[in-house]
Amino acid sequence: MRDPWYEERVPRLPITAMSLVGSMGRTTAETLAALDEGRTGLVAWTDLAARGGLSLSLPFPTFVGAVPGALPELAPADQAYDTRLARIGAMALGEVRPALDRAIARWGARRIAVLIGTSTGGLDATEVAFKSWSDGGGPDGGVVPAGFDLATQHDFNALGELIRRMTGLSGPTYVVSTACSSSGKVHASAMRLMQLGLIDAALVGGIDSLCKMTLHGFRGLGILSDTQCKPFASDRAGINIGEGAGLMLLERDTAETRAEALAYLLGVGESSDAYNMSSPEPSGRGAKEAMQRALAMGGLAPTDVGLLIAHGTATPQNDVAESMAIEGVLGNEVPVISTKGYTGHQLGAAGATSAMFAAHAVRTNRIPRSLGAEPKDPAVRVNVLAEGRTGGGALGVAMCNAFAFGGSNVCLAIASSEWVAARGGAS
Amino acid sequence: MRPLWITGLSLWAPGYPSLEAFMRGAHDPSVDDAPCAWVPPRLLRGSSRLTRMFGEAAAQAVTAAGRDPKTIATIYTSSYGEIETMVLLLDTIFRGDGQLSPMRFKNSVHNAGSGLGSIGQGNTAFSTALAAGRRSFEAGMLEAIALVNERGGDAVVSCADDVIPAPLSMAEGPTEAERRAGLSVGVVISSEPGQAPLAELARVVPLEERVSLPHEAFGRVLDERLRRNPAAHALPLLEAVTSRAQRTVSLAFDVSAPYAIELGPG
Repeated sequence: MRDPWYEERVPRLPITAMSLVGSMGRTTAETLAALDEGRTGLVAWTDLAARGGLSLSLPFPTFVGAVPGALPELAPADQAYDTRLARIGAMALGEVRPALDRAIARWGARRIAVLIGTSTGGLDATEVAFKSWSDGGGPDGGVVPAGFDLATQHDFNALGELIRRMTGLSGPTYVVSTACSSSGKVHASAMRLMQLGLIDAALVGGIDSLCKMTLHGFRGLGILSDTQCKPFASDRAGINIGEGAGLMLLERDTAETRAEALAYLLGVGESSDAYNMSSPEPSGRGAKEAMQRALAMGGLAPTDVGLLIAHGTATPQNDVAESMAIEGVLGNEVPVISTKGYTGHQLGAAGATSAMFAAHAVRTNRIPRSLGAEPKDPAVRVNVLAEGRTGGGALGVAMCNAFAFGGSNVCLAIASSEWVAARGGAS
Repeated sequence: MRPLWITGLSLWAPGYPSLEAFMRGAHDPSVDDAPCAWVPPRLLRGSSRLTRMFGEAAAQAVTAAGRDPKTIATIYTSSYGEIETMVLLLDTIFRGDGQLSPMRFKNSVHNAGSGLGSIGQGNTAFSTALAAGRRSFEAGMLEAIALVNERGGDAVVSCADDVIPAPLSMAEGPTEAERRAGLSVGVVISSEPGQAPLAELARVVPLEERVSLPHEAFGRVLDERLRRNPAAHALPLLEAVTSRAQRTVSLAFDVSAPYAIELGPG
């Protein structure tokens, strides 16, 4: 039974389209096939050049998740917005475009929001501009290249403006940038704006691109792994950084959108640790609150949850704190996986990617294996699946976590259409 | 939409320690950094002036509204965010030894103000950090209105941008006069009017026409550098609320399809 407060106020939202671009594939189909087959997208940065596309030069070893191959250029009219981030975003947008056009015809462009999460924004272009200035003498005569534009490249919301230009959408447009929870929180913003009556649909998601700042920054924090990351394993040694985009179209619940639903967004829980800028509260208190709120909003009991996609970054502290939170809310039998072993930590795109992996899992009743989870850390007392699972009953509901610097936590609850129909249909 | 009220306002800018000083045009050149008393100094080490401006604007607005800083929801919104800290990190990568300070890196995220504010106050309530270029104030207001409409209670919007540091300021315009000055503003939205609400927030209205940001506020011409700050898009609302005007005020200017709010009596 859904909490009556939410039943009256908060809609369940059909997810009518989704797209993924990342190191596992340049399309949604490629990415989900890799997930189903248990193939990682992570490579040592020294091997990137052999794959074509992005090349990096770093003074330390690590693995990264980079979109393979060259990225298609933006249209000539959009060149002012050109960054690696924008190109990855444009690739993802292409896949949801037919559904978006249907939604525009259904609701009108003014009634559809653009809500994107990112932690890097167009920093990849800013780094190129800064290096050019530095190579030219820095304060002694260096110049920032004339083609670099702060507003259309560096600015976080350049993404939002580019999507407006490319699609004609004109609803509320903004970026949520709360580091690694950014693209989980956009789902809550969409639900709120819909409840306010300002919109009928929202293009939500997250986009981040690889750049030196994040790689050097996490290295400086001492949590960047030299090797492929191993969430929940006893020999885990930190994170890998990945890039990518995940976009999802959420629409108001009607007979029409119900027929097109890939899955449903039932609830989103948000919380703040109020503890430390970069370390989780050790007992997992804030994470627990976010999960409990997602359950309450979705009208869910812990026993409804068939899968938990953890934030699971593979740092010693995070994985233990998160597993305590999961155990406290869901017990220790619910299957738990981390997908960071496939994608790396996509930072601002992590929440959106997890949400789409969750939607895929409930649609197919398939749980991918948690890559790199063995040998499992005995301090992690939840049911981490080192092997995947196919069949064996409907998953029904999957939850996914995203936690961030600043103690920002978010948890999403996503259900299959069959589960929603069996529970008395849509709201 | 449930009935909502604006219950607190604030402003902090270099030269102007409060909204009241700004309204009077009482410029004080000694005011150069925001005190940000709601975050302990040890937590502010390695923070940018923008982080302190965010905290100061939020704290002043919450105090003016008589709300509790330990439980209020906080919404921080900015165009370029922590660009000062980011430039320091880029300098270390491209002109230094590449070893980034962990403290600087933590404070470079767009939600640094959000995180430090919640830690400083022990506030575990909702918090977020938004960015939307010229629409940044509008974004913060829409998120706050939607949040308070959903849950009830109070939310403070803190909207701020600081000066753009060299060398990235080169990409903003060739002369100092074209660059922006720092500015932060705060607005508290509440589901209960309390004893002294400033205005009723009756409705959110989508506008079809692009609206130009006025050149004047509080009866005088705005410094062009302040006007170039995205937080200046809050000034027409601050002026309308403080003058008790009952009218429709746009939340974003010089952009397509902005949103406005309809103000009722306080």
